[in-house]
Amino acid sequence: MDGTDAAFGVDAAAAELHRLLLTQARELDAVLARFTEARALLPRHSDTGWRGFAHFVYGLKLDELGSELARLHEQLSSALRQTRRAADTLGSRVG
Amino acid sequence: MSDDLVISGGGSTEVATAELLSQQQHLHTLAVELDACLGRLHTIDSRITEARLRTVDAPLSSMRAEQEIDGAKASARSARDRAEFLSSGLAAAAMAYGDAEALAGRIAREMSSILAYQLGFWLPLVGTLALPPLLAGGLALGGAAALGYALAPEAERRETIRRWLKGNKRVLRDPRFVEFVRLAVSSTDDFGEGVIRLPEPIGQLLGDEGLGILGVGSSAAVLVGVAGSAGVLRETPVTVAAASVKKGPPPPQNFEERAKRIPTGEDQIRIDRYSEPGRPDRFEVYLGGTIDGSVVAGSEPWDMTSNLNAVAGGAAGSLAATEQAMALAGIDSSTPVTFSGYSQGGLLAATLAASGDYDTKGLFTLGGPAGQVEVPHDIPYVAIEHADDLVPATGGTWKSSDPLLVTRTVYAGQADAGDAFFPAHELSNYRETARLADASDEQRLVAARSTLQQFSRGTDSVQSSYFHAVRVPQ
Repeated sequence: MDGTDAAFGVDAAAAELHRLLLTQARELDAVLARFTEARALLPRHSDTGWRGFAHFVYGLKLDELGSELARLHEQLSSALRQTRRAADTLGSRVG
Repeated sequence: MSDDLVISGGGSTEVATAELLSQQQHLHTLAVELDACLGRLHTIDSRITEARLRTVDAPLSSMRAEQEIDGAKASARSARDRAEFLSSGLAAAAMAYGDAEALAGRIAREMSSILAYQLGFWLPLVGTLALPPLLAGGLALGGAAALGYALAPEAERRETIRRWLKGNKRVLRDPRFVEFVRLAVSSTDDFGEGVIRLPEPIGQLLGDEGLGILGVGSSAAVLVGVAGSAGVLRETPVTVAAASVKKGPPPPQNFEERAKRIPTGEDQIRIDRYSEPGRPDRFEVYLGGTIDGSVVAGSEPWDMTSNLNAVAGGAAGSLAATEQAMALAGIDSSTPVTFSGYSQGGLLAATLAASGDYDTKGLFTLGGPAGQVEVPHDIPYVAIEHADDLVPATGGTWKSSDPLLVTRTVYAGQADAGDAFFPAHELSNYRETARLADASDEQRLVAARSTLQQFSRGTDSVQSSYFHAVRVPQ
């Protein structure tokens, strides 16, 4: 394989990665949308008729779950942003 | 006023507030959705490998994206597990509470039966021993009071009752008192068995906890029989006539709309006919509550005579009137029909559904004293009761029916509940509870609402008929 072939191979791989990144961005966007909808299902309050310690613990667990969902939202959003940035950067390279 | 609903029954042992069950379902759905997101993230992550990124000297941002996806997978997995854990916890709590409540109810019923039997058994002896000293004073006081009451004009008698009810309003709507009445009513047969010295094991065999031959119905029948000899609670024939027939509104889409169709005027029965080309007509029967509280039958069949006779399983005037109205409307044993009723109307609705004389497709009651009516379990049945309403409690505990029971304490902790004697029994309060039940997304409620709604699906036109029933003087 000469230099031209090698360069062609890398360009083809970059083009393929660019295509995959675009697909990934689309799919992450869909996952984010679905997740955002699901996140709204999290009960906003712990008023289930329970009182005392059970009410306190349930409220605490709901808060923990809320924090976890907030983190997940941030990670998905960031993954989408980075994927789009990578696709843009690679897109300018592969033309 | 309290907006909290407690949902129980309907083929499940779950008992919980509607809010708790709603949160449990939301958390379960959230867990399912998170699991789906996790699956998608796995698929996404499998397409772009680190090796591929190195081969083409990929931008740093693509590496960061991969790291974020890995982090998102871990968070989604953890959040899914947390949501599922909380959902299962709530479901287990509801189930445990239901089991505990069922056990407590069973124990309370059994204790109440035993106490009532013992009371009935020993009462004659206690009476004999205490009679001589008490006789003079007791007879004098009681006799004077009874005589005074009996000789008083009707208006004065009503005023006496009104004053008593007003003075005891708070007690009468105390959920503990309501529950006590429910148990006491269910134990009247045990009391009678004690009085006649029926051996306890035989009493248990014949009673509600055994073969169910004796129960509230047989006790009410005895009461009606005794009262009949004194000229009260005596049944009469009834006649029914169509009062109006007009084009009706579209079929009800929820519990509240159904509750709003229950008649409140002098025409006690409303029957809606649903027509659709190519299908047999279907009917919805709506029955109002007691109109006349008098124990002496007048011209109004929706009275206490009908109430007691219906509880006794006898030929209540209001029941006969409804059957006549249904026949006039064209309903026979093969016609699909649903029943909705409030108070006495609820008792009648349950009785008609349980009779097996009609092709009953659904039953909806509001504050109906129908606990002892044995409605087959294959009939979709939603019963709304208020824990501070005495009226449904007078029907006793739930004997064999298993309705989806929606309970609300309307005036929980409230000192002032307005001017009505039984404020929690007001139809307006039941309509409000029906509205709250509609707003709930508790699974059983959603399913029941949908089942009742399906009955009228495809309806092309609705004809609403009102019927007026009167007693025939004897």
